[in-house]
Amino acid sequence: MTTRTRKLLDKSFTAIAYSSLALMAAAVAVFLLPIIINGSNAFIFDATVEHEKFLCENLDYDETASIKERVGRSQAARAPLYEMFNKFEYSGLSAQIERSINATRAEALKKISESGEEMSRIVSLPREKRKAAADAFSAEIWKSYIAEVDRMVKSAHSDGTSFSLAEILSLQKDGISDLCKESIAKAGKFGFSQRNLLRRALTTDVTAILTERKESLRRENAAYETFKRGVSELLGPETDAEKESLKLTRQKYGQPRMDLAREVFKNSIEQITIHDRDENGNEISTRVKTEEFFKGTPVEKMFSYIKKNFDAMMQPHYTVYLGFFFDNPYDSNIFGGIWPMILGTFYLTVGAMLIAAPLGIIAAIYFAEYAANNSFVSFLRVCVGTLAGVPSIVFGLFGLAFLINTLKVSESKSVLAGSITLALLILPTIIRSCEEALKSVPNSYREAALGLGAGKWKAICTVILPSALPAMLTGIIISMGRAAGETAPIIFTAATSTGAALAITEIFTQATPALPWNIYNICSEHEMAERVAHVQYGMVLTLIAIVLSLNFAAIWLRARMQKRTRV
Amino acid sequence: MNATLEIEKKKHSNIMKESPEANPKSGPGNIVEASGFSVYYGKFHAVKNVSLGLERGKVTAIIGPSGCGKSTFLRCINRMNDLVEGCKTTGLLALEGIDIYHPRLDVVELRRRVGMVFQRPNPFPKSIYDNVAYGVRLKGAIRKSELDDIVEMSLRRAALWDEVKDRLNANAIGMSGGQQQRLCIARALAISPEVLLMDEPCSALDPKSTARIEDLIAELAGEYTIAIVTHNMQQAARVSDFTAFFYEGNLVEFGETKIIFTNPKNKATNDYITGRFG
Repeated sequence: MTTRTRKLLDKSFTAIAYSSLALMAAAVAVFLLPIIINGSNAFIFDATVEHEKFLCENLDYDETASIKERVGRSQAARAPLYEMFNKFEYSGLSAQIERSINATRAEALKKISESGEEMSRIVSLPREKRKAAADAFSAEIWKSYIAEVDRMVKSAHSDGTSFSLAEILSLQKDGISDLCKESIAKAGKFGFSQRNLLRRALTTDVTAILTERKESLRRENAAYETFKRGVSELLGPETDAEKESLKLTRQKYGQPRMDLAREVFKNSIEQITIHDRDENGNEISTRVKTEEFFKGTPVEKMFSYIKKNFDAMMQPHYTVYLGFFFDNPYDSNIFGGIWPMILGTFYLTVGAMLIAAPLGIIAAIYFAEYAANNSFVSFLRVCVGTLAGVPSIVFGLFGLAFLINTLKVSESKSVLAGSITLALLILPTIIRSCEEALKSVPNSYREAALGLGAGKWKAICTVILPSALPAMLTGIIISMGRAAGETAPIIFTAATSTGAALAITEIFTQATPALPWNIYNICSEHEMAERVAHVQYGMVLTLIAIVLSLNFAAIWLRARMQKRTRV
Repeated sequence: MNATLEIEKKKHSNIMKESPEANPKSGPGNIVEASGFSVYYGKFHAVKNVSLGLERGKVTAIIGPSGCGKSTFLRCINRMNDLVEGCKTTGLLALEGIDIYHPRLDVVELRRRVGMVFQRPNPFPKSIYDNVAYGVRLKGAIRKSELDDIVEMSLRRAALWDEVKDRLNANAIGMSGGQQQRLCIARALAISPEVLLMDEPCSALDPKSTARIEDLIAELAGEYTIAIVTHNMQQAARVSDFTAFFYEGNLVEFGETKIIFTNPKNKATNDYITGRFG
């Protein structure tokens, strides 16, 4: 091989090494960056005034002057909107409308009672002509009444009286048959069948028209209700009394975060869903733009008011909400923080460590220092290796079947059972790494200690263990990181999806929320998963931070101790 | 500790088939006595039927080419070979008449009486003070002032005190190789052994450090019985009173150093010390 080729080969190997390093760094960046960005969004975000209201009312945060001021400003900005709602729903015009409709109805009824001759003529007509004549007569009678109703319906749209009008029309429809009967009786003497015939002829069409007009209003009213629900989702309930009557925290407060508020505005206010019936009578829902649907109505004004004063009503405020890590969650993590999950993870991990580390170290000492080279020890080694390869879900089932159901370490799931299960899971890894660490202690240390009259156990305790400690700790801490992140073993043995932070005395009997399980739970089984996306990312970031900081602690510890103990 | 050994001795006096007097090569002043002593590593016969005695208070050098069994023999004296798997001995090796390989012998007591210095300096990754105090502390609780005295005395004897007295709490790993080796000697001296075994103590050191260690051996002779394995012919000639030449597991020649180096009886010894092989 010439020098040239050798150099070329060297260079290409270097290039490959560098590029693989770069690739790894890029992979880490692609993996970690979104988690860091989205995760920090869980506690650094644009909060609305609702967020502060929630904290002050539920978590005993100080209601500072600036918060009071923001609440005040938001209330001032919301007041005109609620004013508009009230005006729209309880219009002063309704009495007037009712009067004018009743007046035209009275006129029509009067006309009926005065048209005795006409009606006699109609009933005496032969059957085939009678229908047309009756319809024409009815149309003539109700003409001005229908015109008046139509006028009202038309102006209801712009006056914002559709609510009251629908009510009025419903009453009119119910009353009209009896009133007709009366008027026919006043008009003259008709036989039973004649009376019925006349009444049917006079009421059928007008009832249908009234129903149809009312329906047209109802559609608009339903759309308005939807719109109003959207607004209350955004802003929360209007009054304290209303708030008291609601049960869920998510109903008691508006949107706590600006990103969610904008989402709600886009999905439930800017666009709304209305329900129609198609030609077959099946209900169909369609999305319409609020602005177009309510064009020319007071609702359009409300909408443009919300749009224009959105910030004033929500009072966005850039917040670092460290309470995310230390507050209890409210209403399935929609409000509050993730403290119980963090604490649960801490309990489980530390518990697993307290069980696994001593056992693992003792087993490793046996393997490294005492075990003879026979088939029994080889068998033990195979067992440890096999245990390391068992899927974690199997450990979870084992924990449930053996620890909880058979040994009954606790009545049902508990931190204790979970810790033991996790400890069994990481035990093989700890044994392995500790054994390697012990074996890497130079034999000369052993000889020196024994040569100075130390017994085997003394030599292990005073020289070998201290020298192996950095490497052992590294292995143990890395296993700790694994225990912190394991989900499957704790599903059956320790984890619940909701629950308060446990006191230290409760860990023997109580199940706990824990980060890995709750990440799964909140992503897949939460009823409003998309509304708590920031919490998902926040939990993931927290878990990764815990595991990474454990690993960094291991690296730091090793570096520190190696400096002290190695050449 | 002597009490334990006393008991062992009384109980198993019948084991001692050959009394020191019965061995023609041994004088009354021998502290370590080997007769017909063999060592096997598995099937490999490493030391073959060796009989020799280490005279009390004298320095005995063991020389021979690599793989001749000299280190193995040395390490048998405080049973360091127990650590080697498949190591087996036959024959008799006795310390002051007590069978070193008797199954009921307390190895810990033996090793306190027979200290060892290894080829490569192997101080513990602890402070200088802790290194020296290690063996003393193992014996049991001791007052701090007493311990301080022992540490100082041991370091002085190892000619290290002046160099380290200001940094007794510094890590021993930070010392130079020669200092480390002298620290190991001090550590061995701290438990006041009767015999000091040195397994090529200077092979990893520079000439200057070697010279200091040799001076030290000369100073310690008389007070301690020293057995030193070395590859360095001059060293053996300089420091020892007696020299044993091992070759392929056999003790070829044993006698006063002066005689061995000036007038060896055996041709192989002559070839080796004159550098014709080895």
